[in-house]
Amino acid sequence: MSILIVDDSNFNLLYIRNVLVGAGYNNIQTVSSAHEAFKILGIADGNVPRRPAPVALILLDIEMPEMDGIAACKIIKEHPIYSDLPVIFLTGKRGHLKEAFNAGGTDFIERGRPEYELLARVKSALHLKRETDIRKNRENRLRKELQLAKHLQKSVLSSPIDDRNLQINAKYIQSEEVSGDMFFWTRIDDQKYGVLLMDVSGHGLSSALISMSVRSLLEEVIVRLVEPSLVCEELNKLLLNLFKNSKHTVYFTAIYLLIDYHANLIEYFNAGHPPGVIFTNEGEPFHLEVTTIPIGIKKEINSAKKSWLIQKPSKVLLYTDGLVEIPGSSIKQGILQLEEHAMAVQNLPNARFLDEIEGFVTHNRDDVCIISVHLKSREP
Amino acid sequence: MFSYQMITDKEKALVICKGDIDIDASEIIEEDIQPAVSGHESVIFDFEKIYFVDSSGIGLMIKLVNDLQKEGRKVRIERIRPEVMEVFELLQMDEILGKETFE
Repeated sequence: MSILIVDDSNFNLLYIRNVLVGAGYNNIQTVSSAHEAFKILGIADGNVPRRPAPVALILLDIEMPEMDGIAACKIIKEHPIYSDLPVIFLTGKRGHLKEAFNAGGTDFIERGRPEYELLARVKSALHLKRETDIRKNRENRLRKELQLAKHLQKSVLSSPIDDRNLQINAKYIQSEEVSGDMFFWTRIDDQKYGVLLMDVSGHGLSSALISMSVRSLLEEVIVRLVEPSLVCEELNKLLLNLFKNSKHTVYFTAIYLLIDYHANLIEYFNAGHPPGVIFTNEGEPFHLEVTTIPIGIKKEINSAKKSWLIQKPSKVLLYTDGLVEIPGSSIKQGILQLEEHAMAVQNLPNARFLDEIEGFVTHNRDDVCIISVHLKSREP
Repeated sequence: MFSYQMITDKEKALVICKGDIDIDASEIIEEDIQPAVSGHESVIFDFEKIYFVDSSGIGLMIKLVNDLQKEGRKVRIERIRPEVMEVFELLQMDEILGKETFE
């Protein structure tokens, strides 16, 4: 990284260069006009570079023919890649200082002042620039990491199912780059399906780590145990064991459906999750109410056996609390409004129905996950 | 923002809580409140001015109350606002912390 000195006086260029070299700075470029400085920065003739030139600091003379330093600084600062590049003005008089700072200058050096003043200002500008660069690089790296994590997290979600019995679709809306919401479904045999939606406490990375570690166990647990109460107990045991050394409470709420076309039943557990809702063409919606405490809190977890006799056609709507939670207002209220909204559009095709429900998301403070299971009426 | 005031006598500690209980409250709860109340037989949390508790906040409360109960302390949470109570009910907090915590 170099220090760029811009001054129309050769005498001044030489003097400043010698002072800096004497203090041990060796990467110094000198030019005698704003236009030449633009060339070095890659912004001459309206050019917009993708990357900044390797310049750590500009010492810029205010009074120059053709274009003065203040106008030059304004043009440099119009380029976002140079927003952090420090510009120290060189001036013989203090008359222009207000404009100079307004143009984006960071400091000024008066001619004729002692050398140590020049060196102190250069040193502090370079130090600040280095710190800013380090921080920005770290932020960029983190952002890229998170984008990759987000992509990975989405890639393990189950793909939609559409067969003669039912259709399952979902929406996955992340408030931060990654989230603690997760869903999974699978065909257990030709008449049975397992569908699970979970919401890990907290937000962001730590929740995502927990949900991903649970995700890796889900398929095996559901296919092996099938029954809601057994799946519930097993997940609880696994989570308590997995995070037994954590000093924080690690828990998740979940709702799990075993859809059994053979017995014409949906059996389910609901561990502290907002109630799922089933819409049929007759009567009031059916609620998949809470049956037990969230998973991962206590050793004992007993889920009361609950079931619903399948009516066709119908839609089962599962969602995480982000959909109905508006800070300062009541969750019950949110659920009621969601239901009204969903009833009005329940006969739309499944994917369109989900689009409508997604429109219900008013704020993006929390992750939101929505699943819709459409139970088809069989053709005779 | 979360803040608290504490009024104590020999046996009792009354912790008057204020604001939101979320991840930002974790330091105050773990490093200030927990050590300050743990010497008292009975600990009462006044939630009249708690307007919002999220899932991280629930986790903090569960840990705090469970730790105090393990030490044999009697813990109660009082004057919970209806919108916070809904969240507690959904997560079965009375089941988790014991019904006596909310009486």
